Amino acid sequence: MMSNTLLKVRQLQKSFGAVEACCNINLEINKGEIHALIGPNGAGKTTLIQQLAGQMLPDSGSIEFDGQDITRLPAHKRALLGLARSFQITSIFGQMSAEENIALAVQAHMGHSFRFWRPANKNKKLQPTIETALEKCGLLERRHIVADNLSHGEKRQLEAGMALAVTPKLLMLDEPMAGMGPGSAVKMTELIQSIKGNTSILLVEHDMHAVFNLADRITVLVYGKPIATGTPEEISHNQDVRSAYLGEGDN
Amino acid sequence: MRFIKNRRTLITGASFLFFLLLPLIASALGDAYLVTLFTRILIYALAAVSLDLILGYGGMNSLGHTAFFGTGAYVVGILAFHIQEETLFLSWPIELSGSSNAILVWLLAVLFSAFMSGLIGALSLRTTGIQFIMITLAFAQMLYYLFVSLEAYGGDDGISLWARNKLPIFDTADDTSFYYLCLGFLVIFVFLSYRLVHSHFGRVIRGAKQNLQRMQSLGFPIYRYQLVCFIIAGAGAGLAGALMANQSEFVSPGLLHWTHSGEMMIMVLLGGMGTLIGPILGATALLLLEEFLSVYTEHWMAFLGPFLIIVVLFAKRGLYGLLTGKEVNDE
Ligand SMILES: Nc1ncnc2c1ncn2[C@@H]1O[C@H](COP(=O)(O)OP(=O)(O)O)[C@@H](O)[C@H]1O
Ligand SMILES: [Mg+2]
Repeated sequence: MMSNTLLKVRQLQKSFGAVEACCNINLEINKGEIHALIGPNGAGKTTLIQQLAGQMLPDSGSIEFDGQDITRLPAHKRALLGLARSFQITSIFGQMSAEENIALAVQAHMGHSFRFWRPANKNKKLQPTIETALEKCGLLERRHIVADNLSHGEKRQLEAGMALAVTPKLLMLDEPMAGMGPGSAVKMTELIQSIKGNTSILLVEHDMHAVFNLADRITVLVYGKPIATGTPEEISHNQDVRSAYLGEGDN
Repeated sequence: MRFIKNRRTLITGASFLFFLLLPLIASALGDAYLVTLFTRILIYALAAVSLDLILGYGGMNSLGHTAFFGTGAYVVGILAFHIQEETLFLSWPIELSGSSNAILVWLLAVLFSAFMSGLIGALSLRTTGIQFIMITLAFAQMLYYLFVSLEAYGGDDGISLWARNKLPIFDTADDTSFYYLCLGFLVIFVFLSYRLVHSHFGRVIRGAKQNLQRMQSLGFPIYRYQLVCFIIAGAGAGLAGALMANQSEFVSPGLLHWTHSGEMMIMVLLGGMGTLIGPILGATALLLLEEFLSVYTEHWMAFLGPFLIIVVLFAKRGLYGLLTGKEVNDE
């Protein structure tokens, strides 16, 4: 029988000196689900994503993605397996247009780029995928604007747009709505909703309204330890979570 | 937008026309030395454009680019030396003599420089930032001391060539012909570079300059691309070095000294990083200033320094940026 689990994290451990950023994390993400990861600042959410994406190696533990052990695989190879991420601190190509940013994301998955002669921006093969991604992240009209000159919200849209351009199997979004106005946050919520299904999503987000609306399951991380995993319903009634994180008396 | 584009075309066209007509201007002025001076300018422009591929486009801040320039020059020098001395370059396992055949020698110069940049690049590109600057510098200095210690090839004094390498039909000994040959090489190299930086490969290289981490997380094995770019740039510098050896009919370890890398870097910064015409303007400006200031004072660098600082501080894209209107992006 085909397994329904896309990502399996076992006993993942990462310390920075005395700081245990991730201790003994076990986590499973199912195919097609939106799995939210919440927790206070410094809980280790970004550190976990760094290790899943391959920017950082764990001290111990294992990561299995789509049936393959990727614990020590370099970042670019994981990306090609269908593991995409966006960054909490916007990480785009500032001097390139929005379109060229997306184009790079698409190009990465179209075989090698040792192509020295033909102009890249005239490649018709990439164009449909680029346009779909631009449309999805709402930057179709702003495609020719140099990324540095986009507004903060647009930069966040581009950040997410690059990660979802190639329809990854797992998309990890690190606080995609951070610093966004309410209007843009609603758009981002719609965007995440729209790509659900083909793509599993690991969503790190502080906007609880969005999280409880979008997530199929939620894992709560406190001081590097997952203290609970469950449906939004279960999490909102979980006593540990209420006292440790959501704040007793809220909701 | 339209205006900027037109100004770019204008400057590119005007520069080309100027270089094309220069020998005529020189003969009208009766100043043959101008042709020699501008041949050097063309050769350094070629080296500077090649450096800009890694520096301006690829974000690889190499302070060892002259290693490849020097390698190219020494291939010419050493092969000529064996012709002059009537000795063998290699007697075992096969017998190889020197050569003065330009096509063969220059091809070897390019290939060997590419090979050296492959070696040095493969090791250096494992580092980034200040470490990369230092390690490329260190490799270039190692080669410098290697050639200083090679007594067989003149050590410190270098090798004097009796004549330039020979081409069929074309008379390389004639200064004006040689000038046009160098111009031809520069134009071809700039055209190839233009295609390169706009290609898929070029986009990857530019991306790596702006955001290495993101490139990796998008799925690019970026080291390979940077290495290939480093090799292409090294090959370009090697060709420039081979031409330089022919122009001056002399090679010495001075060509490999790190200050020489510094000068190339200044040409790129002065002319405009991340542009293809900029380094040509930079090489022209630097060598002309050097030429005219050194008539008045030995300490011309002291006068040049402040000028450079002003240009680099106030013009983001150097002279090319000043001429085209400031905020041009990598093109
Ligand atoms: N590169 C690093 N070096 C040292 N400490 C780090 C590093 N990255 C994160 N940390 C520490 O690890 C802990 C978890 O950080 P982080 O994963 O960024 O939390 P979150 O994303 O949940 O806010 C914090 O205490 C942080 O200071
Ligand atoms: Mg974080």
